[in-house]
Amino acid sequence: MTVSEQAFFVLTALVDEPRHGYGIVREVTDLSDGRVRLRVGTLYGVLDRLVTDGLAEHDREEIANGRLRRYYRLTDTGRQRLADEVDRQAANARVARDRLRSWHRAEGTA
Amino acid sequence: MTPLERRYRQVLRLLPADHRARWADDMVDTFLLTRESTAREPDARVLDNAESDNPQPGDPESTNAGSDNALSDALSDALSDDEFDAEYGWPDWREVASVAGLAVRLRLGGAGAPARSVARGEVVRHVALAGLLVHAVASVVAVVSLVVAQARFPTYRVSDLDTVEVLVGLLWTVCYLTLLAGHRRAAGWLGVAALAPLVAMTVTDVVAGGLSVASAAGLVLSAALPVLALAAFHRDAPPVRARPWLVALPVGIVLVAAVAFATQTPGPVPLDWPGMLCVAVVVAGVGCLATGRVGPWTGALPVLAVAVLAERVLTLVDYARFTTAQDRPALLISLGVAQAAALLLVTAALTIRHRSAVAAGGW
Repeated sequence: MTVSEQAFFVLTALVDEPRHGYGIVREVTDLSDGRVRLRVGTLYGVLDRLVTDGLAEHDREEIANGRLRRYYRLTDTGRQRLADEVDRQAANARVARDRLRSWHRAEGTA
Repeated sequence: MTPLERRYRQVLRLLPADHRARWADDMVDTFLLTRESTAREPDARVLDNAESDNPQPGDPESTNAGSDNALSDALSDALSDDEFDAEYGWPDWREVASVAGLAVRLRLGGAGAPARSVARGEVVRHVALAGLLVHAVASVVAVVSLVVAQARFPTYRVSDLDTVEVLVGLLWTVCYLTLLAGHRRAAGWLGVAALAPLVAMTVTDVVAGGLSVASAAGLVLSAALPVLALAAFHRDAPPVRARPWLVALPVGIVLVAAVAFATQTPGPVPLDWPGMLCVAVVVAGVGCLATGRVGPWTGALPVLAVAVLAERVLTLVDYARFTTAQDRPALLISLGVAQAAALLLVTAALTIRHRSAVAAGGW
């Protein structure tokens, strides 16, 4: 089963350190050069699914500005799942790149 | 709790209670932090503009003094903006849409969702497919009828408006086939595009006095039902098993054309379009009850029946209102009342069967 683009970026945002919701939103915006801007409803749909599937888990809680802030971290399964997805996307990209190169060569010689 | 937080928590009430219990506090924190950061973004732009608006070439001190003033102004504005936003701000429509989308995905579940949510989603997806099938069949039959009428009566001229109306109706067929092909978003837009002219023409009829407001509302709501139900085809929804639905289209066209031909006046039994729909739902409902199985159809048919019943009752009222005693189609009205009664009975039986199965956890 493939990972949606939003889930892919959320998993990637959690690779280096545990983050809270807003931290994930900001990191995903940076990672995607502003192309993916997660809305809160979208983020927590993705996060709920990742936690249910055991790909991410609760790390710790902090109180900031009188509000409860929960941090999430990647599980080993999540890290492996992301690695598999990266391999899959890289293989796809390789196939497409080879095809395009062949086409450009054929166009150049025609 | 600030008024902004209270308003956002009201939006979160769209979500199922169990999801809200798990995630609401997190969502509120993330929403407020995102809000505070975006509230400051325009001030950053103001700051950039303030620095570049009145450059003083050769006078670095005046430039620095200007930007320092702009910086302090922008910071104080930022603070007051935060407070103002917390007091008077509302969640913007994109945040509300994302929560509404999540609520639809959770309540009308797809793969991996709780069983009850998946079952509810299947019911709504069947409502969408069956409703679009009805529209698709009707639109093709309308085109066929137009062509046959022109062939049989070459001197009879159909108005350009009627021709356009019939051809635009084919958008329903395109919408249905697009959904079966798996292009869900495109199907949604096509559904809206098919519905829009129908709404416009219905409103025109009301203004011209040819249709009561109640009838118009009933017609629009029954037409809009499958378009609204398309929301259940979100990204988590399972793919449609297209083959039976593809077969249903030509079968439906042949059946409706045959029934329309056999029952047209002065035929033996007058059967108008709402009457056909009543018969179709009653036959399907009796079939479901006879098999004894409970599934998406036992949930979807009562929903469809409500739309059909509304159309049936409202057209009967119009028959009674807009005809004189001599012209009144007495047989059609009597049959219509019988159809509505049969529909009510079958719907009640299906609803009881479906609800008791769901309550018992059998489906």
